[in-house]
Parts: sequence; C-alpha cells; structure tokens
Amino acid sequence: MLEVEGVSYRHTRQPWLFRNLSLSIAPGEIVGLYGKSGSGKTTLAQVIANYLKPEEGIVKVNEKKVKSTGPNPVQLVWQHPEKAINPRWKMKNVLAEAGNVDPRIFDALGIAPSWMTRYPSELSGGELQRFCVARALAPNTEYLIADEMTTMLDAITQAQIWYTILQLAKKRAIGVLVISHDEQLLERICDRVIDFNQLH
Amino acid sequence: MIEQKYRPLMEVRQLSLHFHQYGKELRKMMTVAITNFDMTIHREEIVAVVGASGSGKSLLANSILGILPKNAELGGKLYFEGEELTIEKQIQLRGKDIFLIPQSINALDPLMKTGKQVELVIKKKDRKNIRKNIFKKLGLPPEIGDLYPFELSGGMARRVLVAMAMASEAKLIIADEPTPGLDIDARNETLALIKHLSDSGKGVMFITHDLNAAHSIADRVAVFYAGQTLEVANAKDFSGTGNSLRHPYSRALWNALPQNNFFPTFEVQKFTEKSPTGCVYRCRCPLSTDLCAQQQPEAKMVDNGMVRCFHA
Repeated sequence: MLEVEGVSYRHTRQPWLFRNLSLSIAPGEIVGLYGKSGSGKTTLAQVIANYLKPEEGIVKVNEKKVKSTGPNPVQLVWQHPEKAINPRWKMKNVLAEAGNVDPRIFDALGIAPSWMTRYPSELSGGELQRFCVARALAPNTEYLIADEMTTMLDAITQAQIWYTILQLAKKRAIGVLVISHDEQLLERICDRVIDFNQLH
Repeated sequence: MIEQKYRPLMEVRQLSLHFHQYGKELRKMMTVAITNFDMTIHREEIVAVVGASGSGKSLLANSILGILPKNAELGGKLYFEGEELTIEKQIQLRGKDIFLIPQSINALDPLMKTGKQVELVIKKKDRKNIRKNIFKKLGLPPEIGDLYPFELSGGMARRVLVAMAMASEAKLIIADEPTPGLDIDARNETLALIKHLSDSGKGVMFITHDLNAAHSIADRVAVFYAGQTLEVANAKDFSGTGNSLRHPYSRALWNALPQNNFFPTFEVQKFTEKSPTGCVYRCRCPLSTDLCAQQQPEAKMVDNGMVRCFHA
C-alpha cells in the first residue's frame, strides 16, 4: 500500500499549495487524478516520489517511510522526457542507471535496438518517453506516478504505452497514479478518479 | 473547404527535406525526413497537421521559418502571399508576418520576466496596457507578468507563448503543439483563441497530435506520417467509427483515442534511408498488398479530400 498521510507543501514565502493532503493507492490499483493547471499536481507527484520534502506529513510504502537512499519503490515519469534525461548520455547509459530493466519491457514498449546508441536529441518526444517509462519500471518499482505522461504523444503511441503499463501493472501488482487533464483517458484506464481540489 | 476568395496566404509545393549524416565508418548517409508535402493555407483558415511523434511535424514548421540545422537540404517551393519564400525572405518575415508558437515551453527566455517578453513583440506604443489586455483575455493574472518562466506552471507558460502570438501582427501563425499540458478549461480556451486568431483574418497552421483538438477547430486536417501527408480530410470526416476517412492510418489514429476504441497498433515507424519504395505505411497497414511494396501511391482526390492509398 502506498499511503500519503497529511502532507503539506509550500514554496518558500508562498501560500500553501496543499495542506493536510491524504490519499492511498493499493498494489495493482490504477488511480486517476485531475485538477487545474498550476494547482500543485506536479508538486504533489514530486513529494510522493521523494524529490521534494513535505513540510508536514509522511509518505509510506508498505507501512514504512521511504528511505532517501537506494532505489525508490515509487517512480515518477515526468511530462517532458527531454527534461528528464541527461542530454549527454547515450540512451543505453540512460537505461543502465535504472539497473536491470527486463529487456522484454523494451519490446513491449516498442523501443528499437538501434535507438540505444543514439543521444536524446536524436529521438522524438514519444521515443524518449518510452525510455523514461522503461527506466521507471525497474524490478523493484512498486508504484508508478505518471504525471501527464502521454500528454505530448499521439493517440497511437499513447494507447501503446498504456497498454504495456496496464498489463505490467496487473502482472507485477504495480499501483499507478495517473495525473492527466484528459477525462476520456482517465475514464478509460482508471479504477477510480479523484479531483485534486477535493483532496485537501 | 473555404472558397478561394483571395490568393492563398501560404502555399507549400512538393516540399522535401533531407538530412546529411555520417554513418558507420564515416560513410555519408542521407535521411529522408519529409517527402512530397503539399499544403495551402488561406486567410481565415485553420489547417491542422496531425501525426505521430517523430513523424516530422515540427520540422515542417522549421522549414517554413527557415530555422533548420546546417545539414538539412530543403527541396520544393514555398510561397507566401504569392511570392516565393526565399531564405532572405524567411529571415525578413519570421517573427513579423509569420509567427511561431513553439512546442517547448523552454523557448521562453529563462532570464527575462514573462511580461517583458510579450511586450517585446508589440510594435505599438502603450505596450504594457496592450500586454495586460491580452493577459486578461487569456485568463492570466496581471502579476504573472512579473514572474520568470521557471516560476510558472506548464499551462501558464503555454498561455504566455499564445499571448506573444496574439500580440504580434502576423498574418500566418504556426502553432506547434500549443495545447498539451493544459487543463480542460485552458485547452478549450486556447483552441477558442486559435479560432479567434483565424477569425481575425490570420491563417493558422495548427500542428498537433491531439486529433480531438484538430477536428474541432480546423477547416481541414492533414494527416502526416513518416514525412508524408497520407490524407487531407475535412474536419467533419472525423466522426463515428471513422468510416468517412480515406486512409487506414487516419482510421487507426481516430480509433486509438480513449473515447473511441483505445486500440494500440504496434510496430515502430521508421524513416527510410534514401527514397522509400512503396507506401510508407505498408508495414502497419492491414490492407497492404504487393502493389503497396512496389510503388508509392500518388495523391488522388476522393470525396473532396486528398489521399495517398491504392485502396481508397
């Protein structure tokens, strides 16, 4: 179980973005989250994935606070893949950072072997995002936070990536938080959908 | 289709784009990015270009603006208001008569306040008030103008980019993916603004992968795949199960939408070295025959729309 308990966050000298926010995701559960631009959804994603420290509250996985060292069982896939990949690394090195990713995931995501020796600038956004997803699906990943993960992609690529993730989520009991503005997408893939404003 | 009242604003004839690269053992290679692209945009018209990521949509915008990398080779002809759009002309017109709404929000100057960036585009006096009015129309609070790009959310930054296009006096707006990352309200608002840009007399080339957005505001939709236009459909053809569409790829794209079938078609699209023989879509196409592998289908007109397919 991924439990977010009463977390609060604010940027320095700014009003609270959210206060005393709680939510939980069960293994294998697909939960949708929507809300206005600028309401703090991405910040929440970063807090849950331990990129940001909440001022109050705690994020627990299987009843334990997530450690700040070692691989995090909660992995975040960002909206803009070109910002989440080291531009000076070839793609195989980008993947190596995640440890032993199951090569079958590459096939399932449609990653061509020839892309491995390319630099990020030589791939399109959709192609890069497949790498970000593969990297986030390392063996120890238990929860995936997809922050507008397929917003930048065409409909067919979007359907392909979600098809793969939904299959894996079922097989490995990975819980997924889907942050998106696309109501139709959320309705299609999620077990339940929550409004960000109702959370805090 | 809108009647041809005036001569077209922008005409693209037989555009092709190649990249010179060095492959294994420093052998010279040529990668084909765009082939045989034709497009006409009139004033007050929105033409959407829809296609997969990596299909070369953004390169199309860059070709028109003349901002391609050095190893690119452009073929075909571009005309703006009936005059050939040479490189000198491109340099002269871009940012003035032809304005780009870029895809990446990284395009904002990270070291300049957003209000200042919008004001720089305005030629008239009283820049500050004009800018504030535009911000108001876009639902941006005035104090956003005093913030730096890193302090904005993705949706806000996107609106600042649209604000710059509104502030300009351009005749042709090239909007390269202006809607992703916006919430439903902001997205609909941005689409309404693009519609507003065309209603006020501008021609708009709307590059997007959001098929919903494309067919809701555009007059015509060009479906782009691996550097080719496979179909130019009228917006109303995108409805139901896509039976009015002429090309199998257009139907696949339409049926992959979450509100339709959410059907994933597997196999990766690839750019071909040298000229491709046969149809570019044949590897994924359920209708593919021997003929499709041997010959590239010519563009033909079916039901008042263009299509490149033997089976249409």
